[in-house]
Amino acid sequence: MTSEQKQFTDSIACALAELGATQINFRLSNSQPVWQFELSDGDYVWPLELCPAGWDFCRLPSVNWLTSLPVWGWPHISGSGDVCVSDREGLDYDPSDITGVLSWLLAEVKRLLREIHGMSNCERLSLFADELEGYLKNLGARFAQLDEQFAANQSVYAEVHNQKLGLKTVPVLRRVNAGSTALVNCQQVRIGLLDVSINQLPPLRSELNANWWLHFLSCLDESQHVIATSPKHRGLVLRVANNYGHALLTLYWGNRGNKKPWGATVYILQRQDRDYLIRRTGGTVLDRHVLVAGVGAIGSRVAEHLVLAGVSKLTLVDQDMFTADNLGRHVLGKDAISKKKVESLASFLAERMPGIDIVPEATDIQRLLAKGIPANVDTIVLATGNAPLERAIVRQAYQEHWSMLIVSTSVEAVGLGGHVIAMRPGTAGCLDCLYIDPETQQPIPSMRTALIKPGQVVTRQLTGCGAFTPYTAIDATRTALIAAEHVINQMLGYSRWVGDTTQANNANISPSDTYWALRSQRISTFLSSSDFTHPECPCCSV
Amino acid sequence: MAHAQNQFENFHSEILLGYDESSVLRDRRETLLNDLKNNISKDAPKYDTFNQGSYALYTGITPIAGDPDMDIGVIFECAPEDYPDPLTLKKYVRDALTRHNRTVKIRRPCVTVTYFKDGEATHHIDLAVYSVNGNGQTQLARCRETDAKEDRVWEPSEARELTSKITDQFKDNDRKQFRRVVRALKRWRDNKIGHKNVPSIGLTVAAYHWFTPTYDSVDGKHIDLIAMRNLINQMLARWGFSRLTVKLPVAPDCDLFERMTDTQMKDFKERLETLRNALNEAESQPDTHEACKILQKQFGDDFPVPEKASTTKKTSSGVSVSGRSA
Repeated sequence: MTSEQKQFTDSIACALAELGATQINFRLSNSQPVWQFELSDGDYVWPLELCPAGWDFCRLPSVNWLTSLPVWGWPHISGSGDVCVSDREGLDYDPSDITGVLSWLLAEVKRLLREIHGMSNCERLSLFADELEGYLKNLGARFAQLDEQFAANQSVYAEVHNQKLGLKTVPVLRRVNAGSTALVNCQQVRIGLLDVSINQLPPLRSELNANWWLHFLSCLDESQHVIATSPKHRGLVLRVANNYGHALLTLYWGNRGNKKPWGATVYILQRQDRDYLIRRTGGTVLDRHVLVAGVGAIGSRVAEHLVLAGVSKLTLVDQDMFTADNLGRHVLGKDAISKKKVESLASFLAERMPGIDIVPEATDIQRLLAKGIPANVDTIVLATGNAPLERAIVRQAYQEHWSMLIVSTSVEAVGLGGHVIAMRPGTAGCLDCLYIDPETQQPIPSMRTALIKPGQVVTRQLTGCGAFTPYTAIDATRTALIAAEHVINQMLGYSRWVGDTTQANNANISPSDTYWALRSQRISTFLSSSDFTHPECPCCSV
Repeated sequence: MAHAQNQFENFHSEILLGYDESSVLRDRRETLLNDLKNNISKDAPKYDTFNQGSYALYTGITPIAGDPDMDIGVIFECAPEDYPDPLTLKKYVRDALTRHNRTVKIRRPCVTVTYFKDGEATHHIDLAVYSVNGNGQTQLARCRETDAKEDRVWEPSEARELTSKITDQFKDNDRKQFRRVVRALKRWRDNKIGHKNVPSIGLTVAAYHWFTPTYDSVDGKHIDLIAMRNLINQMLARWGFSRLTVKLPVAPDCDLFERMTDTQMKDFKERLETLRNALNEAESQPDTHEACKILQKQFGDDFPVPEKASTTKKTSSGVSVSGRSA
């Protein structure tokens, strides 16, 4: 033991004694320090085990309840007796404060044990049902995917892969579905779907045997019994009601024949349905149909973030092919080279968020709009990099009184910033307002809030053929995030951001007065629609 | 709604007279300071010189008629106690500078060098003479040769501190707008009131106190018309019973308009109100041409009036390189 380790163990021993622990025994388990001790709490004496994760408190140590194992039916306590006083999310403490951390930890352990001990069996099980999946995870149960939610009385199937382990072939459950087969090299088998209460479950393990099965069957009512024992089923999805809806697990026994005794493997179903994934971000599914025109560096990231934010349907419009030149700042990778951007992006996004409805349209946006706006589109994102085209579309939208939000977004060269203009036909404040000189009331060829002084060459060449505008993936992403926020919140107005001048200085590009005004915070990076409306705008004032 | 910002900026370029930009001013200063260096009495203590007044403040303008004047500070390395009679030092300066093409006269606040051409006075340079007291505060020699000895005094006067305060009040483009507005206001004063009736430093310090940088909230470009209108409104709002007091923000902390008579003050106020109304009227014009015609009446012929928008040919190329992408 090093001097630091010795100092650590001495500190803990002292702290335990100071905190009232008795019968303190220290040992090394797999070279890790472990203390066993007893802690009095009124009439109770709790036999406990302290297991630091290494030789410091940088991670909160675990405390095990030394009782008859495995523990079943006690909330916040794993099968191995680990007392879960905290979900360990967002904890903050001084790891050198051994006594302070232990004092809090042991007080929490005592409080929890006393509280749970004082509950009725029914109350305990009710809370335990909430944590059933976590309990099984701690027991080493396997995981299988679940991409969708099940309706009542729905047929359920398992996708099973026969995995070779040496000479043996072991069936492994990969995914549970409602009839679709998506995984390669998997066999689809039917399994049952059974709603049970936690009271009907005998103590679960990661592998179950015939005794457990018989015990389980004895706890079921007649209708449940029919489902559980149906000869069609090679397994059972158990939906165990709890305060969050259900705990979901699958018992998979496969085709065992008559000679083998009953045995099953327990799988925790990892929810991957969109509703679950979005709710896990703190958001909610948005019943929106967004059309993204232009899926370059900005448009692809706008689409990505809209998908992750819960937008239910996207139409992606771009006729370009993905090339190796795009790799430096696009969301897509090498697999997409020489393919239509919209098609590769649709596949990519479907992987990012199962269940999203994506329509790729490998065509020009004007050609698509000429055929009519796709049904139920409530937002159009213009990320084409072609300002005249976007102005023309916005003018058409205002003239024809389209009802949707229109978001035009672009990034400036050399990291100087980006623009997001969100407008809605019928409301003054549009893209064209920014193309009128307020002094002369005359139209001007460039946006008056451009961040680069006019008249400079900003494009670059690396090979002599193939000009490009220099900006980074970070610039594109910053702009895309702002655009996505406007879409998600259906927020009208003009948002812009400004970066620093490092790249611009290196490239001898001069920022505009607007850039400096924004950079020095003389003017706001957000303008409401009325703030930038031009009263004589030929587009939105008519 | 016209702001005539381009015209305000062109007007500023037209009237601007800065020490940095003018080789004439630099040459005059060099010649004078060389004379001082070469001819000053060996009995005089060592000294340093610095620009003061509008050239140091970057608010100098070309006068409507005649040559521009200039202010120089001469700061001697001595204490007031070393020269209880400050006239001694002023005489050193006068004697060193007297030449055939100029007259040098000791006035109470400074030594004035007047240049002549064909017998006519063309311009003058004022040299203020300072010493430094034990606290490091500059003291101005205030005396004439005709003053009785007890009236020849050293008075606190922090010209360099004033320059720092005013030049540091605003930064970057805001500072540029401050200087444009002060210069425009000074030219307006020359045009409407006369150079001597309202002191330049009074206008500059009023702007130091009450000017607020003003710009378009969308593109961040400065709007001098509104900035000037706001400054005038601030000045008018502070008019007391019959006078506007503009305190020097350094020693001797005096009112810079104290020498103006009540009649001058009244005239000044009325003309400021007229200017404010003209600025408002110009702003309300739909055409910059009309706005500038109104402004020219206030600022004089150097304020440009563009052609009417309806007759203006489009001079832009029609296509610009935006540098934007997606």
